[in-house]
Amino acid sequence: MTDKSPNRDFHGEIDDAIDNLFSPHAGAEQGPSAAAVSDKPGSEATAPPVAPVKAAALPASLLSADGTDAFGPLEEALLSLDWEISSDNIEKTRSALKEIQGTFEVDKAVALMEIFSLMDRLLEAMAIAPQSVSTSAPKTLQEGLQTLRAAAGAEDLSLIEKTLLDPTLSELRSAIPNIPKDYSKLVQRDSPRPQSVSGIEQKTAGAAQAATVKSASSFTLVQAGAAEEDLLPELPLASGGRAAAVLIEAVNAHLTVLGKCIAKRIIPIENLFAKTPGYEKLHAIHTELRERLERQKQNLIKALGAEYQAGTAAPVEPVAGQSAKSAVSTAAVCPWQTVALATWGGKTVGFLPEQIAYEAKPANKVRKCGPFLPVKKLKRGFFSKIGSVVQGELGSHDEATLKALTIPVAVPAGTEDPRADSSLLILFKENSGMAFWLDESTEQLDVSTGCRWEALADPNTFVAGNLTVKGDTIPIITMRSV
Amino acid sequence: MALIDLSKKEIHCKIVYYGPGRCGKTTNLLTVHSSMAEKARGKMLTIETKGDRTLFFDLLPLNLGKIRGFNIRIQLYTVPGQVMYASTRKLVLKGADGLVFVADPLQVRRERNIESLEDLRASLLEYGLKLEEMPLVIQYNKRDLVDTPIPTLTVAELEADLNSVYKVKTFEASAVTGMGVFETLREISKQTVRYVTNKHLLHETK
Repeated sequence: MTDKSPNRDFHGEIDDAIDNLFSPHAGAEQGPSAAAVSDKPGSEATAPPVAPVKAAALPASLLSADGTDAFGPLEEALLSLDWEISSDNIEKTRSALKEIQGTFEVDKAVALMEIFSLMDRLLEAMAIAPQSVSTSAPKTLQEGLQTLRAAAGAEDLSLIEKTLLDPTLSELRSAIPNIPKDYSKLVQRDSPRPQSVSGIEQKTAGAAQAATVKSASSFTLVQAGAAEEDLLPELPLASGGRAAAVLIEAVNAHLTVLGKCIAKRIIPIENLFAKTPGYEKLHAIHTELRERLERQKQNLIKALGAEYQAGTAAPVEPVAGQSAKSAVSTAAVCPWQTVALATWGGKTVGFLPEQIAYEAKPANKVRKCGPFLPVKKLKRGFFSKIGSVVQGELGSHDEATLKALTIPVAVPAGTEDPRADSSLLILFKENSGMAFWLDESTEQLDVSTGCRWEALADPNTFVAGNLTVKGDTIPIITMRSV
Repeated sequence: MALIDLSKKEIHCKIVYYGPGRCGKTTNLLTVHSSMAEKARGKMLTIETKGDRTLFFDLLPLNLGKIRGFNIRIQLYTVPGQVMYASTRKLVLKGADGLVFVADPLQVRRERNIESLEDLRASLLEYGLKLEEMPLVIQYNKRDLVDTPIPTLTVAELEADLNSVYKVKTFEASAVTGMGVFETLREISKQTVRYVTNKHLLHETK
């Protein structure tokens, strides 16, 4: 109780100070007129919207039977948009704008095409990146509407060109932020209308994110879903006119960029992975990525049909052509110069020579080791050293380590004990090894040219990938994949 | 977070006016600004937005004078109400000591009010604060529209929507006419200064 009393006094003083501050005779002068407030710039006051300036007379095509004009829905949509920029309001405004465009006489519609186009682009920008659009954008759109209304009622557009059309165009142009276009929406299957941007953008981003997550977690999942995702979407037929021309130009430009990216960015990395042992999985992911992008490119070319301008893509065609060539050769390029071919479990397989630590026909005692091979059993005599028998990375270990080392023996399905004449091959890399009883000894094969390499991503197999040599497919066993 | 400068004996409290777009947050501040004596208020900082919408925030500093040697200053902030400015809103909310939730009584804005209050609650939670533990006052703005044909919500409806959980003090107001603006500000100022001094100053001076 005792220490509450000073608090109460203190709080009392605060209350008095605040009451004093906000009392009419001291600090605050309450009861300002509404006009005094709402006249201030930046006010959020709900001032009634300014009545639009009506054109003298509208043509019959822009008037309905009950006398109301066709601009009503657009006006209403723009007011809603001014109230709040939401995807719903943007959609409504865009459809109202489209509707208006359709009711104009053909010659006027053509003359006012740029205004319609800019208004639509501004709405599109609002949908894609609302934060980058100025808050005055709804007002600019309303100005656009007033200009359209005036143009609809004007007998000669040239009369209002300087006073109305040009300033409106300039306002609209400056209101559109510079947002990088994402033409990927063109290949979204879920996009029934090319004009509907907000949802599409989210879907595009979502799909991209999903793809990233998939590729990170399971490459096989990506492979499984890829074919379905890469199906040619039901692209809407582009209506004629300038909008369609712009779209075609944009898609052609996109194809150019896509070709460049594949040729200059993806293929070199893919080749690098192909040539780097241990990067088989990354190589496979990259190959899959390139193939998917190329499928998308083909889809777009197919959708464009006769409108595909090879000329637009011409500057990159040599590169793109090279890329296509490289794409084939990438798949054909073997990451290694030579492989050691052998027969194991009745099949021809390949090993990497640099991973072979031992290959010979050992003594009979070694053949009886079973599934685990003590390396010390490879000694040729009592006084010999194991280090002199093995090579490569395994040979760099000291004698004591080698004596203690045991290596598992890979047993092919359906086989029993090794034959008396079979050779023993030991692969060793990064402190892990595996032994193989071969039916026949290895022989070196030059695979630097004329071979096709396809990596496998399954970590549970001995096989890192398949090498196709003169039509024969040879599984390549590497220590990493083991 | 209130700024307490013991060497200068100054306490700064931050009060944020929160609410859906077009509910009248900036109008509240403009009314306060235009009605306060110059010696008690600082310059109102408002970002010119052409389209008369708050893009970042508005700031109005007020000086309460000295209490027990401490100079107490209150900073009034508004947030941009539009849904799309969520990140800016959250940023302005950081360090708030008191909150005024300005509700829009228009029927068509009913959902927006509820969404905005929920947004406020969620944003505070991200800063580790609970709305029910903070000084909060709800203002039912635009009461001047009740007598017009525009469909508006009754106070009972607004109470049911917004104050059934928090049960805080509410004020009917009309920011454009000034009605209820100072009552709201007076109450939240008292709550906030008490909250800040209880939380920081009294503990330190004990």
